[in-house]
Amino acid sequence: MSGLNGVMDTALTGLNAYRASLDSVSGNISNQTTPGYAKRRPVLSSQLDGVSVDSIQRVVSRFANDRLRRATSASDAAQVTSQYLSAIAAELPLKGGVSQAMNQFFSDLKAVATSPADLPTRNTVTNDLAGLSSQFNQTARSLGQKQRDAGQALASDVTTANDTLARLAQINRALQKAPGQNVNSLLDQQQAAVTKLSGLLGVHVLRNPDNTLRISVAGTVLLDRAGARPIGVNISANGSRSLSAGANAQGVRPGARDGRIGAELAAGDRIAAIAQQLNRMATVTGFLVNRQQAYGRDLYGSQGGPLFNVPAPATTAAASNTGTATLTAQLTDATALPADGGPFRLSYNGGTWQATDTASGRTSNLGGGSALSFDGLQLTVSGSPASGDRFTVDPAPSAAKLIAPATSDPRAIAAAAPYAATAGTVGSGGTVTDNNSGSAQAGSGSVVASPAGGALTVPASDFGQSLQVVFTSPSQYQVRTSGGTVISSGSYSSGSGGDVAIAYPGAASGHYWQVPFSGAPAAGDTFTLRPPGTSSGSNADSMSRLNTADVLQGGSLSDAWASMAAGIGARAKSASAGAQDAQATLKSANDQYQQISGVSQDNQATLMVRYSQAYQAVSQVISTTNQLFKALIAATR
Amino acid sequence: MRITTSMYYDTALQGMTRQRVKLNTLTGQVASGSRVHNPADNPAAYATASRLDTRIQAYARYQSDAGNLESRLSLGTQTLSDAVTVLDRVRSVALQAANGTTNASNREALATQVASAREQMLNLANTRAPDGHYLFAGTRGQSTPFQELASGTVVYRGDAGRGAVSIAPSLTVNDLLTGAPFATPPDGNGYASAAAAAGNSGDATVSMQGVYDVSAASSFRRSGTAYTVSFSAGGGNLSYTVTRGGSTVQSGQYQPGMSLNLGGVQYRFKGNPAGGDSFTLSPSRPQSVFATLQKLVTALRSPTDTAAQKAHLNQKLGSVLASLDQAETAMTSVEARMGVSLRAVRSAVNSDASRTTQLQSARSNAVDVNWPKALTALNQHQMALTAAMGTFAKISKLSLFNYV
Repeated sequence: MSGLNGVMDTALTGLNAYRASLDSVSGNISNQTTPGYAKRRPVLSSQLDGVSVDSIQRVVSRFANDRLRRATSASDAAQVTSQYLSAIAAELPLKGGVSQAMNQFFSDLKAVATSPADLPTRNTVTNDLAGLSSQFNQTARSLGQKQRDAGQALASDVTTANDTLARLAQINRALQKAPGQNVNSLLDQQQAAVTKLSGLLGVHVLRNPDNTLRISVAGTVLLDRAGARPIGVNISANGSRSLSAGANAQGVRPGARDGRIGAELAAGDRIAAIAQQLNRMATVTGFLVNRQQAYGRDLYGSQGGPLFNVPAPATTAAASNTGTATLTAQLTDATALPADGGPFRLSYNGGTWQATDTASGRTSNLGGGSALSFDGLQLTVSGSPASGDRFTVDPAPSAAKLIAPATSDPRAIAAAAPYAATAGTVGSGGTVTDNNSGSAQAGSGSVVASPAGGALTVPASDFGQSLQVVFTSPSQYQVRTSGGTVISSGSYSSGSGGDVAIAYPGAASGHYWQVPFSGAPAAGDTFTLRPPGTSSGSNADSMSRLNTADVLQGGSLSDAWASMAAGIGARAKSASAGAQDAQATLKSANDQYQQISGVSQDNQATLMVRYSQAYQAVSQVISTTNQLFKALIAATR
Repeated sequence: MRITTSMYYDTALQGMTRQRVKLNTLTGQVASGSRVHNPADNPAAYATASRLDTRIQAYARYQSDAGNLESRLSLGTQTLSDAVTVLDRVRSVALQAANGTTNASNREALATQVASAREQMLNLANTRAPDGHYLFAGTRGQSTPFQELASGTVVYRGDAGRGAVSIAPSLTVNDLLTGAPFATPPDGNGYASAAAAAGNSGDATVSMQGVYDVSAASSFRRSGTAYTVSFSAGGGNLSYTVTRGGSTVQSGQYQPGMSLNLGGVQYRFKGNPAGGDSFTLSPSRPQSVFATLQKLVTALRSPTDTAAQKAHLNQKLGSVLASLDQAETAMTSVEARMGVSLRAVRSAVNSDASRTTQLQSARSNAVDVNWPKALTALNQHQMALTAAMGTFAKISKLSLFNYV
C-alpha cells in the first residue's frame, strides 16, 4: 500500500508502538519496589509498513539470577550462624560467669589452707561450691535455650519454606496451563518466591522450557512439574534434628551455608558440641576436686568425700544391635578426656572394639576382651557383642547442667593432710614420748601414683588408723598398727633413707600417701603416723593449685577454660567476619542483578521523555498527512 | 555502570548501618573501659586476660599468705630467741650455784628464779599465733601443746606434722612449727650424760671433757647401753671398774683427776670417791627443757651439809649446764632455719608484688581501652556518619522527574 493512506497507517503503528512503550515505562516506575519484578522493555521491529511491538520483554539474566540466589542463601546462612555464635560467646563474659566463679572457689580454698580450723573461711568455700555449680548450670541452661531457639526457628523456617514451595507449585501449574501466553507477571511472582526460598534453603533451580521450575537440595527434589514435596523435621533421641522430604521421606541435607535452615541445623549441632566441651570442663573440675578431697582428711578426721556431684558416664546401645552385650563405663581419669568431651561411638567388628570421638573423628583401637580402656574411661563389657554392634559412650552426660555441690557442710572440706608424723610414741591424751636416740627424721608427706622403690606399703584397708614406724635395727624397719601388729617390714638404708607409702581407699585408690624417712636411726626408734590436728591445711593448698598447676594436658583448669572460650570466640568472630563477607558478596550480586533487571528512575524518565516525544512526532505526521488530505481535497474540488 | 534507584538506597543504608554499628561498639568500649567483654570481641586477648585474671587472683592470695607466714615465722623466731634469753639467765644461775660460795638461802632464791624461768618457758612454748592457735604444736594448734600434769611433769601433746603453704607458683613453705626444740633436746652433751649414784658417799664428781671420736660417740648414743664406773677400796688403794651390759670394759687404779675415754667421750674424775660409789655414763636421750629446769630446781633445793652432798649438787649442776647447752643449740638451730624461711618469704612477698604489677599491666594492655585511640575513632566514625547522612539527604533530592 502506498500513498497518503499508507503514510497514515504507518504512523498509526508508530502511535501503537510508543503507547505500548510508554505503558512499559509506567509499569516499571510503578513496580520499582515490587519483589521479583524485572524491568520491562518493548521489543520493536520494523515492518514493511511501519513498526510492530513484537513483545514486552522481561529483562533478566539467568547468570545474575543464579548468582543472586546463591549469594542470598550464603548471606542469610552466615547471618544466622553469626547470630547464634555471638550469643553463645556473650555467655562467656570475661567478668563474671564460670571462670570468675572458678577463680573465686580456688582462691577461697587457699584461704582455708592457711586457716583450716576457721569455720567462716570454710563456709566461703561451701558457698563457692554452690556458686560455681550454678554458673555451670546457668551457662548450660542458656546453651540449651539457644539450642531450643534454633530448633524453633528451624521449625518455623521449614513451614515458610513449605508454604513457598506450595506457592511455586501453584505457579508451575498455572504456567503449564498457559503455554504461549504472556506470563511475565507469573514469572515476577515466581522470582519473588524463589528468592524467598533461597534465603531459607540453598536450592538448586532448573528452569524447564515452559518456565516451570524443578527445585532440589543436595540431590533431593523438593518441587517438579508434578508438585511440591513438603519438608519434615525429625528429632532424634539425643535432640539432634534432620530433614526429610516427600512421602518416602528422602533425606534433605543442606550444608551450613545453605540458607537459614541449613545454618539452623548446623547451629543446633554446633551448640551441642560446645555444650559437650562445657560438660567436659564441669566433669574435669568435679573429678579433680573430688580426687584431691580423697587425698586428704576433713575436719571430722575422715578421708574427704566428694565436694561436687557429677553425673557418671552413660552408655547407650544402638537399636540395631544384635548381640547381648551391655556396656558399663567408669571415669577413672577425667584429665585424660579430650577437650571436645566426645561423645564416643564404640563399634564392635571382627572381635575387636573401636572407639571414635564423634567430635573430632579420632579413632582408637581397643582390642577385644571384657575390659576396655581409653581416654580416661574404663568400660566393662558383659554379655557377648555381635559384629556390627554399636554403642554411644558419653563421658559427661549433661554434666554442666547437672553438676551440684555434694555437701554444704564446711567441715567436709578435706583441708588436712592424711597423716602427721611425730617422733616417738603417743600415749593416752596425745602425750608424746620421744626416746629416739638416732638422727632419723620423718619428712613431708606427698601423694604419689606409685610408691618409691623399697618403700614399706600399707594396704588401703589399714588407711585411716594410727600407724607406728619402728626401726627394729639401724637397717630394718616395720610399720605396725597401734596394737602392735606388723603390717609391712623391710630394710632401711641410713644413706638413702626409706619411705612408708599408705594406699588410699575409695575415690583416691591407686594413689599413695608417702612419707619419706632420712637419717640414721637407732634400734627401737619409733615414729607415729596419726591423723593430723586441725591446723593441717596442706591438702587444701594442693587443691587450690589445681587452678594454676598443669594438671591437664593443655595446662591448668583455668588454661583449659581460657582456651575453650577463646576457641568459641574465634569461631564467633570468624562467623561475624563471614557474615560481613557474605553480605558484601550479596550486595555485589544484587548490584549486578539490579543493573540488569532493576529500575532506574533517571533511565525511565529519559525513556519517558523520548517515547512521549516520539509519540508527539508520530502524531505530527498524522496531523500533517491530514492537512495534505485537506489540501488535496480542496485542490480537486 | 548503571545505578538503579534501589541500589542507591541500599548502598546508603548499608553504609550508615555500618557506621552506626561501629559507633555503638566504640561507645560501649568507652563506657566500660574495656575492649573485650566476651571471647568473640578478641579471642586471643580474651584468653590472655582470662589466664591473667586467674594468676592475678592467685598472686593476691600468695601475697596475703606470704604476709601471714611472715608474721608467723617472725613470731616463731622471736619466741625462740626469748627462750634462749631465758636459758642464758638460768645458765648464769646454775654457774652461780656451782661456784661453791652460795649458802642454802642463796640457793633457795636461785631455785625460785629457776622455777619462775620454767613458768616463763612454758608460756613461751605455748605461744599463740595471731589467729589464736598455738604456734609450737605441729598440726594440733587448737589445744595447748605443753601441759603440766599434777605431778609437775610437762608433756607435749602436739606433733611434728608439717604444713605446706604456697607463696609463689613454685615455692611452698612449711607453716607449722613443732614443739620439738622445747620437748626433745638431747640431754648431757648430746651423746652421753653422766650421773652419780644416789648413795655415793665420797666427794668425787665426773665431768665430760669433750667428744674425741664423733662416730664412736654417735654409735654410743644409738646403742642404748650405759657404762657404769664403780669404785672399790681394798688394800689402801682405790680401784675402778667400768662395766657395760654386765661385762667389764676397763679397770685400774683410781687417781684423782684421771680421765677415761669411753664411747668416744672423755670423762674426768675429780675428788675422792668412797668404796662402793658408782657413776652412770648413759647415752644421751631427749629431755624436755622443762625437765632440765625442774632438775635444776630440785638440785638447788637439796641440802649441801656434807662434802658428799656438795659433790651430788655439783654433779647435777654439771649435767644441767650441759643439757641447757643442748636445749639452746636446738632452739638456735631451729631459729636459724626459720630465719632462712623468713628471708625466702620476704623475698617472695616483694617478687609477688612486682609480679602482680606486671600481670596487671599485661592484662590492661590486652583488654583495656586505649583512650586516645578509642576517642579518635569515635570522632572519626561520628564524622563519617554525619557525612553519609548529609550526602544521602542531598543526593536523594536529585531526580530527573523534578525537571520533566
